[in-house]
Amino acid sequence: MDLSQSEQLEKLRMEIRQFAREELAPFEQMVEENNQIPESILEKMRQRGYFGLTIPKAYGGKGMGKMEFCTVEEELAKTHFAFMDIISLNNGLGSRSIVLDGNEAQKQKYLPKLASGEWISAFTLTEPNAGSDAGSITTTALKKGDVYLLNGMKHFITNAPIADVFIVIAVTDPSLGAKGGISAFIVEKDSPGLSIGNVHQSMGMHGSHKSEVIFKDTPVPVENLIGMEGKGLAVALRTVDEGRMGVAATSVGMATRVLDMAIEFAGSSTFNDKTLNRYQAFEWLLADMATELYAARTMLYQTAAKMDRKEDAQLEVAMCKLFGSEMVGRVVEKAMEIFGKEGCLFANVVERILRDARILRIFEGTAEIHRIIIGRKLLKGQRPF
Amino acid sequence: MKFHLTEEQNYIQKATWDFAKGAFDAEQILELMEKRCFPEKIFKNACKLDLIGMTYPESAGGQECGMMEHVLVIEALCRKDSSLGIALAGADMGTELIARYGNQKAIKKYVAPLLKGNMVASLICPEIGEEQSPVQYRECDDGIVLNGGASLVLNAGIAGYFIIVADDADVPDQSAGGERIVAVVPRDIPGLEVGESINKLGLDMLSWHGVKLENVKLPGDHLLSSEGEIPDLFMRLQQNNLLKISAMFLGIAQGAFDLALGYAKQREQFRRKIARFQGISQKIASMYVKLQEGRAGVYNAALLYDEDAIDLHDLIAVKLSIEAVAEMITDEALQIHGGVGYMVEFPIEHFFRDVKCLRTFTGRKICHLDLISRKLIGKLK
Repeated sequence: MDLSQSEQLEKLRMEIRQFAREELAPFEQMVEENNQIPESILEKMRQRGYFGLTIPKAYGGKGMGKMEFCTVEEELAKTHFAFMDIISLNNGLGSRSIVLDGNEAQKQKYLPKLASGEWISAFTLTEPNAGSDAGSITTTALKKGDVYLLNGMKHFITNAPIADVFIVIAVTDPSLGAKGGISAFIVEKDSPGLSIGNVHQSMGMHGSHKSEVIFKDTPVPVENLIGMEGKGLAVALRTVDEGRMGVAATSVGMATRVLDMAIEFAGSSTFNDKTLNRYQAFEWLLADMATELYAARTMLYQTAAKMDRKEDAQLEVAMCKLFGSEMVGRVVEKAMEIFGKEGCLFANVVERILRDARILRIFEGTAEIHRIIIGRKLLKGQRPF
Repeated sequence: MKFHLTEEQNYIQKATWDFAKGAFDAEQILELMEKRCFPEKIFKNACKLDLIGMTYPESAGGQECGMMEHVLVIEALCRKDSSLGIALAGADMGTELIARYGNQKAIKKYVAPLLKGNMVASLICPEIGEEQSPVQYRECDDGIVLNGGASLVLNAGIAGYFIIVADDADVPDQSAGGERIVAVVPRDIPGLEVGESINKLGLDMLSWHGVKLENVKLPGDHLLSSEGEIPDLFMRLQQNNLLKISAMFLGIAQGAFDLALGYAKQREQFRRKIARFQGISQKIASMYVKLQEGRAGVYNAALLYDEDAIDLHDLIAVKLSIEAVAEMITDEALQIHGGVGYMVEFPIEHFFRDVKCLRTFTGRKICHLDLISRKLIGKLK
């Protein structure tokens, strides 16, 4: 059974695909060059409810499950990464901790704004000295009366320069640190002492804004603590699987776009007066690209279905993220072989995807961290099948 | 691992490395890349130190060095910085042919200003395995007429002259007796048009342009000829290019390795240097294995080239091998850097992009493999 193709999912896929083709694709190059998504497109995405796809209906969202959301992510990733990236936070790390661990007041206050896209969210965990080792963060949130005072610096924070609200993971008890001393907070952008530091210039991900976030005695009301004090790392880690599935779905979407482009190019471009698709070597490259893309796509929806059944799928999610992100890298490499010099041009979408796809092996947990996660689970006796 | 180098070779290697360390400034590199500028000043300084054109004959202003010395220089430049190194080392592509086989007039007009750092060359020739050159010629009264063009020509925007490989328009098939010629074409010649700069993935200090030649009348004395000294000028050009490009890949691979090793020894996660994690330390060792393997191949090829004892297909094999090494090492080096490796201010970011771009210079890998296999398999009954 092809899990990705129930009638309802297929309808959703076609709807998103049409929107992506008609409304998003014409602006891809513009987003890349201007490093910004036009407001008119954001408005269309808001109107269609894209910012709240995974947020429960009771709070203004669409209440989508994993199968559906992966379908949306896959289709959006076939256009420009920024279109996928801009909605991924509100649907994922920016809202999930409130959905899963927030209290009713927090849900009422924040989720409708995130679902409508009126507010953009950012998730601040990573620090210059705490990347893979998230437990070693040093940003503190020390309780003083009825507020916590935030101090420290976060970096590589997606959406930070445009975010209205930040989910902040900080140390509330330095003596405990990662072992029960870390908490999660909701922090609004105009909080005193909150500032945006350097904006990062990166190889790809143009149109998606990343920067440092600096807290200097930033007061956060106690009612903005998510869940229990000291449970912040657990709150954060419960939500990372969402982002990881997003990476896997993005990998599949990007690779599909690249494969389609490579097939088209191989049929229209010639070498020594023969179209490329008449050379066996190019044909075999395409075969390899499509085969591992199919494998990654099957893993993705198999795992999404498992998550929708509310079964533990952490092992499978890690595998989807690891394999998907490396798969798209290899697919792009092979496409470059087909495109030759033309694959290097800014005007060629493959060039952009090569740069964008390279982050997929790094963020939301590096490939190395994922090998550790998978290896440890296997050694503890877990199996994905 | 040490390689057998002569005292002079050791000296040249060290002098180049010292130059690169002194003249390559990280901030200036980022600025040149952002503005997409050729590093004119640094190129002039490299010329002053005779790092450019060192294999040219003394009569043309060169040092008459061997290819081995040249490889060491290119390696050191690209090791310090991929973008800047390639810009410097690639500025004279094809000019060796003028220096060696051009007449005095051509040497004075093109080679001399290049060696002073006042001029840059550009090359238009078929890719490896490509049967026909993108430019054709017809003979006329006092020379030839060129027609054709290429879409992605390196350095065309700033070049003072072009080295153009052209095929006989009436007999384009060489096996049917059509001759392939190599000509020097001044930039300002009527009929030669250079298009806008085309933005691309890497090599940010160099630009690609379309070049069109429409009835370009070239006097006969602009054709290069070895007068029988070597049978095939184009072959010489290809061999020379393959070695230069191999040396670039080698330098980039070494440079990326340096960056990765340095970062892994300094970056701490989980309360220890990441170099102490076996997953990372094994990566570093694997990169080193590949690097040494690649270097042995490139050095050996350079030495054989100097003895005129290497075939084109073996040079292609060496280039493919060091290219794969450079790709693997830059990719792993970026991965070891994690998130910062993706950021423009860290040099590994452009080392990674530059390798992807450089590998398309001589055409597609598949066509390289075709050429090697034809040589190995030969004609089958």
